Amino acid sequence: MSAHRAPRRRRSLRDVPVRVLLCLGLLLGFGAVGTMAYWTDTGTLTGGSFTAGTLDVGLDAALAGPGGTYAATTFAAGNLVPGESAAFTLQVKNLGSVPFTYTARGTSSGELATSTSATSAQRLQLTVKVGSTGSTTGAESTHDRVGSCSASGTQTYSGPLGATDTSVVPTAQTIATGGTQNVCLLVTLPSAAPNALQGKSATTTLVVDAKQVGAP
Amino acid sequence: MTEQPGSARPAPGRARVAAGLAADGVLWVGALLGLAGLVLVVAGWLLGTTALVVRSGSMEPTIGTGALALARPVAARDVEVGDVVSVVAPSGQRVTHRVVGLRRDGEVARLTLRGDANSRPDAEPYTVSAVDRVVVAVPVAGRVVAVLSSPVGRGLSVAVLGGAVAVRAAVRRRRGGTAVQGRHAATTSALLVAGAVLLPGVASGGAPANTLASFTDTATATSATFAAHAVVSQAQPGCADVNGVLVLGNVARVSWTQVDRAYEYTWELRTTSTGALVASGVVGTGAAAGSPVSVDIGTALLGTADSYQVVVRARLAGTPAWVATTTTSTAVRRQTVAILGVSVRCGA
Repeated sequence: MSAHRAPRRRRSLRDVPVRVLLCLGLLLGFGAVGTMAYWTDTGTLTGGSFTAGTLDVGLDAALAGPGGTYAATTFAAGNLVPGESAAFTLQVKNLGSVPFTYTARGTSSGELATSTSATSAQRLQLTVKVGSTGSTTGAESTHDRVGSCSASGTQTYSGPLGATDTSVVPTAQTIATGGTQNVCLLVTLPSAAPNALQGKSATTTLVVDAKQVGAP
Repeated sequence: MTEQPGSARPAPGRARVAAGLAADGVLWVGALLGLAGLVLVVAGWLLGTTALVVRSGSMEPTIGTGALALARPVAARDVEVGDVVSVVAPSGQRVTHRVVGLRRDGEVARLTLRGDANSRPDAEPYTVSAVDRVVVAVPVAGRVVAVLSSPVGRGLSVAVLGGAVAVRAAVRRRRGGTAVQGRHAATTSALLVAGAVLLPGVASGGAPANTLASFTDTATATSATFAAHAVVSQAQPGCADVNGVLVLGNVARVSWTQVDRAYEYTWELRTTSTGALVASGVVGTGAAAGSPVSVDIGTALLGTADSYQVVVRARLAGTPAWVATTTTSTAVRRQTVAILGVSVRCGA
């Protein structure tokens, strides 16, 4: 500070700092309230994150990247006699950087699943249990295979599959980023399967639909 | 201030000059942001535009995450496939995606939307009578607006701008200048600050809204083959004449090899000439694969004819309805030995 300061004089509106500070005060009051009337949009701006990541659902660690079909070669059983069943574990994985929810639907083709010589209860059956793993005792050669899903988890479907989409996981399941969920798939040839199904075969296709958490 | 122009004052120190320049810089940034805010406000008044902060990236590369999209309302009848529109889903969440399917129904349209980065459309179509159609998207601007509109951001921006104005005014005063220049400086500062403060106010008033460009992905798993068993027929049975203690005990032993432990066999004794069923039975249940299975055809089983076929059919022991499609057979016959009696022998 210089020693030769001009004498202080009284502040007035013409002073820069006073005026600007007053303007600030006025605008703060105006800005917060005045604009509310002009827009009637929904949704709040405060809060919420930016998610510039990827959403990627994988099956048994395959299918990185969008879409794709995974040949689950172990999801099969030959020489099924009526009453036999086999269980498998399918891992649904979150390979992307955002958490997602998924549902799943299934179809089957082939006479073992669709033959009109059998009722729907007599054809190949599928039971789906999320959060569970599948295991099978017995062997194909001894015709005594019994599949079962572990006690944990929730059964989401049990019944036949046909040519049109059947929802096998109707309730959205959440998987966090980098997470995995086991799904037990239990395939059964009912004891009541008629002779017409001898030697017939079928393949099953499952489609997992994933979407971002919070998406409608 | 009643300073005389050109009065002798000490030149401002370097620190003060730097502070003045920094304050100037801050006020310029504030001014530009303020101008942007004013533009948004005016566009909103004149055109009804809505500013959208894009919070995720399923519209990439067209609209990046953190972009600020400007959308204006259009009637449902003016929406075309290919437009990028913003709708509010029943959940209250706003979604901004491209129209890939469109079905009109009078004044209303059913839109199927899909993000440019998604492999499949949104799960549900949206039925609307009017939508906000995106006109332009400015990258990164959404992040700026989000920061400025947060409570912390608003407080900071007001404090920083206020401080900059005060510093600038103080520096100017120290450096001297006319009263008129001082008033111009004050007015300019006030306008700059007005815009900068108005932008956060506009933002929190609800004009820029959050929108998701929400991601989806689909994965398909196909099984290999599930196949049912087919019952396999046994090989042609062999036949052996087996003699008992008495002639009456002479039997024809028909035998074959067990194909599968799970099988059993039905055998039928039928007359060769008419095929009439004379006797039948089940044999071989539980026999190990590869072990011999046999049935003894004795005189007690015979009817009146002389010539018979033994017909063997395999089936699943656990599910008797599942039978082999073919049978195998061998011939046996009645043999009468004078005085001694009747035997059953192999062969026709």
